[in-house]
Amino acid sequence: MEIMEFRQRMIDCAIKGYDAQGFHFIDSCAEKLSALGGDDMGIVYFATLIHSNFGMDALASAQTFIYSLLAIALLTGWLGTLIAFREAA
Amino acid sequence: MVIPWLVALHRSISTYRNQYLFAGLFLVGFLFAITDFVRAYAGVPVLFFVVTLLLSSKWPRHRIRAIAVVFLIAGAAGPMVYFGSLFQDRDAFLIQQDPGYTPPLKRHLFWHTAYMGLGYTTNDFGVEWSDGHAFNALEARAPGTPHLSVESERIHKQLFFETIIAHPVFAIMNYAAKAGVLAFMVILFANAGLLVRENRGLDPPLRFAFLSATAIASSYGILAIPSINYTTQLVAIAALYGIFSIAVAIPQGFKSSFLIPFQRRD
Repeated sequence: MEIMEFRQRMIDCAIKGYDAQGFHFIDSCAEKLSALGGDDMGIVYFATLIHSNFGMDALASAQTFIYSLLAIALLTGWLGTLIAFREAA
Repeated sequence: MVIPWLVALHRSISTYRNQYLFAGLFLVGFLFAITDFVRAYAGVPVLFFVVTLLLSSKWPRHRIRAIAVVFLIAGAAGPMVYFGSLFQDRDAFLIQQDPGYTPPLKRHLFWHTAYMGLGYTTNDFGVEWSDGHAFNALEARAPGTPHLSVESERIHKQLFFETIIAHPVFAIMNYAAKAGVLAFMVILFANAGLLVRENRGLDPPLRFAFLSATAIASSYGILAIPSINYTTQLVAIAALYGIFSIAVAIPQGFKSSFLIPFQRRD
C-alpha cells in the first residue's frame, strides 16, 4: 500500500470510528476497535472535525484542511514578511 | 509562517514594546502547539528559533525575559492539554472495551527511522530506505514483534548500532553524503544571503536564531534522508534567512554589504 493510500485509509477509519463511538483516533475498520497512532494525528483530527461539521468524505475533508492550512500559512507568512520589512526600514 | 513575525518581534525586544512582544509570543506558543500536533515535531525548529532569540537578545531587564518565556509557554499549554485529553479519553474508552488494550507509542519512531536512514547510500549488506525493509529486518530478528512498539524500537536500535559498528566507514560516508546534500540545499536557498558581510546583515541574535533552527531542521534530513519530504522546513528557513539578510544589506550599499567572490582587487 502506498504511503498516501495508507494515510487516506487512516483518516477514513478515524472518521468511521468517530461517527460510531464519538471518540477521536479510533480505528474502526478492523473487527476489533483499536487505537490510531503516528506522526499525522493532527491531520486525522482536523479532517474528522471538518467531516463532522460539513459532511465531507475523508479525502475531501483532508484536502480542505491541507489547502486551508496552506492558504493561512501563505497569507500570514506574507503579512509577517511585510511587517518585518517595515520594522527593519 | 511564524519566523517573519519573530523577525518583526525582535524589533519589539530592542525597542521594549512589550504589549506586542508578549501577545506575539503567546500566539507563537499557540501556533507551535498546533503545528506540532498536525505533524509530529513540525514546530521544533521554530521553538529553537524563538528560544535562541529570547536567550541571545539584549533585554532591558532580566525579569522581562522570564515573563516573555511564561507567555510563550502559556500560549502552547492550552492546545497541548486539549489534544492530550483527546488521547486520554480515547485510551480510557478502549480500556473499557478491552481491558488488555495497550496504547500505541505516542512519540515518533526514532530508531526505526535511524536504521532505515542507513540505507540512503547503496550498500552491500541490504539496508534500504523503506518501512518494508525495516519491518522485514524486525521480523527476521524477532519474529512476531508488534510493529511501532517499544520492543520494535529496541530491536531497531540494536540493528542500527550493529550496522555502524560493523561498517564504520560506510556509516561515515552515509552521513557525510546526507550532510553534503543538506549543505547544498542551504547554499541554494539562502543563496546571496550567505554572502552578506557580518556587520551589514541581520542582528547577531537573529543570526543565532536562524542558525539553531537550521541545525534542528537539518537533523531530520541527517537522521532520515535529505529528501524534500524531510527538508521543507530547512528550505523555508534558509530561504527566509536569505530574504531578510539581503533586505537588510541592500539599503546599506551593494558593494560594501556583500562578499563578492572572485572580485578583482585594485
